[in-house]
Amino acid sequence: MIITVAFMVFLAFGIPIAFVIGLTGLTHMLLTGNYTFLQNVPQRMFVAADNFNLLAIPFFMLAGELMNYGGITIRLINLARTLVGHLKGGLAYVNIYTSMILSALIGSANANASAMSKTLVPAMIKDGYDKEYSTAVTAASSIMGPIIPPSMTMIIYGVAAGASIGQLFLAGIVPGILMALAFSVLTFYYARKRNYPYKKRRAPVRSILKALFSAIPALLVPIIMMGGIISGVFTPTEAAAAASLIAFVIGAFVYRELKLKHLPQIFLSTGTITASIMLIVATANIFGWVLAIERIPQAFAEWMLSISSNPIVVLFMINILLLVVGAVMETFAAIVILVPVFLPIITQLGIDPIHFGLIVCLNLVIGLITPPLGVVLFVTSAINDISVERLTRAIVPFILASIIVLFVVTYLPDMVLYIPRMFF
Amino acid sequence: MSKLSTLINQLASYIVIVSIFVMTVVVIVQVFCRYVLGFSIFWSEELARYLLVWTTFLGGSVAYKKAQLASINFLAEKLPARPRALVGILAQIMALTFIVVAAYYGFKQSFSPSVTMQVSPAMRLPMTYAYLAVPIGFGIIMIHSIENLYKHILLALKGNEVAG
Repeated sequence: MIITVAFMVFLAFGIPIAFVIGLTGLTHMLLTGNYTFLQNVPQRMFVAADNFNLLAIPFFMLAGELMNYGGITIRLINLARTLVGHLKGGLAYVNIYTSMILSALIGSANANASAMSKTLVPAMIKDGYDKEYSTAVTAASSIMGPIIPPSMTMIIYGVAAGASIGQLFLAGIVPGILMALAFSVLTFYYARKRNYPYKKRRAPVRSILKALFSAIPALLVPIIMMGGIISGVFTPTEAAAAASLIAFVIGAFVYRELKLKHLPQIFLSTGTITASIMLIVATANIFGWVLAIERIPQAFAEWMLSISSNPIVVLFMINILLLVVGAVMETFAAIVILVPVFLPIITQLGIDPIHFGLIVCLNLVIGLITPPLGVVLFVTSAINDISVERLTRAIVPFILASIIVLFVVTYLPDMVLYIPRMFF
Repeated sequence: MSKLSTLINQLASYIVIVSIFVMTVVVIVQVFCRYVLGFSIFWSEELARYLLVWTTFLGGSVAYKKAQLASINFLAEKLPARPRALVGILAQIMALTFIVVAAYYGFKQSFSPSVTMQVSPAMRLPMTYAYLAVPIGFGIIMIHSIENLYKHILLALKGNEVAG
């Protein structure tokens, strides 16, 4: 209990989350008088960071940065625009589907949200959409980023649960498409209700072909990546490294927007963003270790299974719990700390860890757009200069739509596991 | 202190840039060798992993210096200037506790017999070089953090003068 209070206080004081988690673990060691545990602090962090699977994080990050500098993002938006721009509320659909394609290139909601905020939100406002809706649709669609492969969140889940990252990636495809559909239904409704603008004419076939042709090299990146993982040519980490190489070649030699002088900046920001994720993973490992020593996961499993041993009920309880956790806690820390806590329950109930991975990821990414601490809310509200309060009101329908998708995914495991079963 | 902090940060940034570059190249070359040339570079995975460890802790110090580490600031920002400075000082001191523990025990561990005697399986590199990433990274974070603390104290004192 004291630990929970300490955690909240550290957090409220504005200490970086990575240190908050480490400090909470440290507080527990000091309170229980286990001073010998202190020497495990660096040890646990080292072990957490020393992981070949986690190398995929800097590589996917690098690929994303290279694609941004190389002009790949813009070409994808153009393609989506020629395809669905003529529908009523066209730019909102463009936003959702560009985000979906972008999610197949970069694995992080924040990167997705900021790329889209800079490019598409100004265009939407210029076309007469209100700022609330434009920002809300951008923020909401960005959470497809960690669901549609590749995904940083799933890499970290895979490492924490010892599950196949390749299978997790494949399992994300159907839920990702479901989210895009759910958001499209919302857009369809609002576009009619609020009479959102649209282009009278469908884009001519020639310009569609032109946009498609110019986007083909960009679309190669996810195809080679997923193809490589499915066929077993690459591990996910190697696929990510290959993706960076392809993104570099396309940006530098095909689109010719990426210059050699950009590289140090790209490498540095890749390094610092990677480090800020990895530090959280590292310190969360201290905290997780403390929990394991105290046998908290076992106690928690016993408690939960004493309430019910029906998978439907247990999954319902876990969903509610994770939605709350996702709204107040950093995603990666939540995974590293909580997955080992839930895993005994999941195994006991015979739930597939890949299916459970999708449930965990969906819960936590919904937290990214849920107040009070949804990171994506803060990122998009800062870039688009709109208050978090106004944005929150506009985003509530999207949160509800995502929760519906979450429950569909929770109770239809076969749908989620259909694609991974085809290949593995 | 401020100069030291800036200088070290520049150095750390260069190392991070090189480290990201090398780890990417090593993994790509490894895949190329395996499929095209038909042999494996047995030390590539290990090198890439240790570079990731160094990137984590050195890059962490760069991210800390740039205030890029995720944190929740909106509560403290609602406070008036002087209490805010005090909260800042307290937060720095609390964070420093963790940073010092990580750095101190990190050094102790890096030079403990069980680590110095150990070499990495593929490269035969003493494990001390890998483990040192933790204390060196946190050592640098400590320097930045002390500088931050100093700035916060100055800020609090200034607030005092204005108020008095």
